Amino acid sequence: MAQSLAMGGYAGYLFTAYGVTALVVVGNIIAARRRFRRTKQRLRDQLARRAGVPLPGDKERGRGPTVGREA
Amino acid sequence: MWTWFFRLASPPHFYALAGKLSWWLLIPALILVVIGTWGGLVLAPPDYQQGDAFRIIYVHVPSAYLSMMIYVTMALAGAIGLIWRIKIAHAVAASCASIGASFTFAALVTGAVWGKPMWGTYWEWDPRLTSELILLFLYFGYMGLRGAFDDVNQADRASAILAIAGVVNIPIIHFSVVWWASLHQGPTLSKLEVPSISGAMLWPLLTMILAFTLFFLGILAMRVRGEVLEREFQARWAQDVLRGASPVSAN
Repeated sequence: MAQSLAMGGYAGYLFTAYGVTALVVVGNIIAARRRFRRTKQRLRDQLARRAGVPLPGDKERGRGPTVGREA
Repeated sequence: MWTWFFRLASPPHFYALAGKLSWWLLIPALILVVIGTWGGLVLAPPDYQQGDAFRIIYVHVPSAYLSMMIYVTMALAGAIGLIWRIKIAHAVAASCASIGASFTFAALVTGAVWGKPMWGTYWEWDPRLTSELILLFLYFGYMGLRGAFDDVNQADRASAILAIAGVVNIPIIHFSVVWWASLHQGPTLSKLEVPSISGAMLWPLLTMILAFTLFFLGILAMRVRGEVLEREFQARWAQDVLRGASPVSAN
C-alpha cells in the first residue's frame, strides 16, 4: 500500500498536478456561483432603488427604466 | 426543432434552460471525474518508460484540451454574435473567458510538474509550451479588453474580433509537436489513427475528457445566466425574475 502510494517516487509531482487541477475545478464552481449570486443581488438592489420601494413584495413596475447598464 | 431553436435564442427561455442544465451537467461531470481519477491513479498500469509519472496525463490532457476547446467556443460564439447579432451568443463568449483561462493555467502547471521529472525542467521555451502560454495571455487580453469598455455592446464587438483573430494560435498549439522538433511528446489521441495508448490507460483518459467537457458546459450555463440577466435588466421578464418569478411564465 505504502509502495503504491509512493507512485515510484513521483508522488509529489502527481499530488501537485492533481491538487492544482482540483483547485481549478472547485474554484470554477465557487466563482461561478458567487458571481451569479452577486449579479442577482446587485440588480435587485438597482431595481429597488429605482422603484424607491424595498424588496421583496414590491408591486410597482415600469417606473421609467431609462438608466443603462450601471457599473 | 426550429421552434425549439428559436425559443433557445429567446433570453427568458435560455435563462430557464441554463438554470436547469447547469447541475444536470455538473453532477455527472463530477461523478465521471471521480471514476476517471480512480481509473487513472489506481487501475491503469504504470507506463513502461515514464513509470507512474505518466498518470499526470489524466489531468493534463483534459485541461489542455479544454483550454483550446473553450477558446474556439468563445471565438465561434463571438463570431455568431457579430454576424447574426444574437445577444445570447455574446453572453456565451463573455462567460467562456475566465473558465478557459483557468484551464489553460491548469494545463501549464500540470505540464510543468510533468516536465520536471521527465525532461529535467519545469519550463522550456518549446513551441508547444510557448504557444499554450500565449493562449493564456490571449484570454487575459480578452478579459482586459472587455473590462476596458463601459458599453457592453462595444465590449462585445471588440472582444469578439480579438477572439476571432486569436484563433490562429489554436492550430499552432495543436500541430506544434508535429511541425517543430519539440521537447513535448507527440499526440496520444488522434481522430484519424488508432490511439498510441493501451486500453487500460485509455479509458480513464477518455472518461476525464468527457467529464471535463461536461464540467465546462455546466459552469458555462451557470455563468451565462448571470450575463443574460444583466444584459436583459431592462426587460420585464428579467425584472420579474429578480422579484422571484419564473422566467418563462413571466414572458
